[in-house]
Amino acid sequence: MRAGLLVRLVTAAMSAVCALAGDAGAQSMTPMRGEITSFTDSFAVRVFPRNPYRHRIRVAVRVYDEKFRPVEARVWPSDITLGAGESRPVTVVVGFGGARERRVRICTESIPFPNKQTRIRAQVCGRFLARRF
Amino acid sequence: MKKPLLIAAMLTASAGAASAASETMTFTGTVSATCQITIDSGGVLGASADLMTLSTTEAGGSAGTATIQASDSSFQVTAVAPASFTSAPAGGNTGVTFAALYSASGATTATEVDGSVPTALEAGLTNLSVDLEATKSDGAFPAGEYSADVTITCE
Repeated sequence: MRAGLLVRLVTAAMSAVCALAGDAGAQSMTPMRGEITSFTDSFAVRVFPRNPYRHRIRVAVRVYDEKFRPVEARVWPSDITLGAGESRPVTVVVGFGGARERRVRICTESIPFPNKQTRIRAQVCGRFLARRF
Repeated sequence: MKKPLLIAAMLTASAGAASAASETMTFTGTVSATCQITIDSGGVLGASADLMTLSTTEAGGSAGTATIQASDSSFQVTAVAPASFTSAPAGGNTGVTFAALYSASGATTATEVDGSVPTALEAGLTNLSVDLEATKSDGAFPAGEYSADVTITCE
């Protein structure tokens, strides 16, 4: 009897949480492939996250290496709010770290609004290869 | 003006009016290679009878859904399970392992693929269905609210 009540409590609680999940973000980004030649110790990429929804969303731009480990980079603006159908430029600058070439992923990730729950996080990643001349 | 010259002039004028000019106006456009993810709905976790499993496939649960628009076939998708709940009651995250599976229909077809295994996307609209299962090894899940994030990646 008590176990049955507990099941109902847990199920009801989780249903309540998950009902809020519709506000999760989504996005696209361009470009998603690129090769860059740089004459300095770092290279820059400009990407354009876009909000395909009819409501505003929050997204973050993050940089990862080939194994999805975070890469130190200057990203501005790194966290942005996009209105319906809006696209904004984001500039990413990454150092070569002494290497002659570097492969990175630049990803646009959804950020749930405060006080909102999300169950599925969207991540759109472009792959970029930079060579130091 | 002499009559032959007048006729010739009239013929020339009429010929010019008859040959209307035709030029081609060209429109150009570019579609950048891109991938767009739209989250249609989050999933719901149902509890097993022994409360040791929370899963979208248990009674009361439902899979999360998303739509992916790929401009060409150079992209791939994964649906990676979290390492822990983003919110859970005390003890709810102890001894928990997660597994995510996804299925695709539409432009791309796939059935119950391990979330960490990439599937190549075909150009067009792909409908993705994502299942998540959390298993607790040290007893039953305590009562409370749980939330976990699955990350769908298109790259």
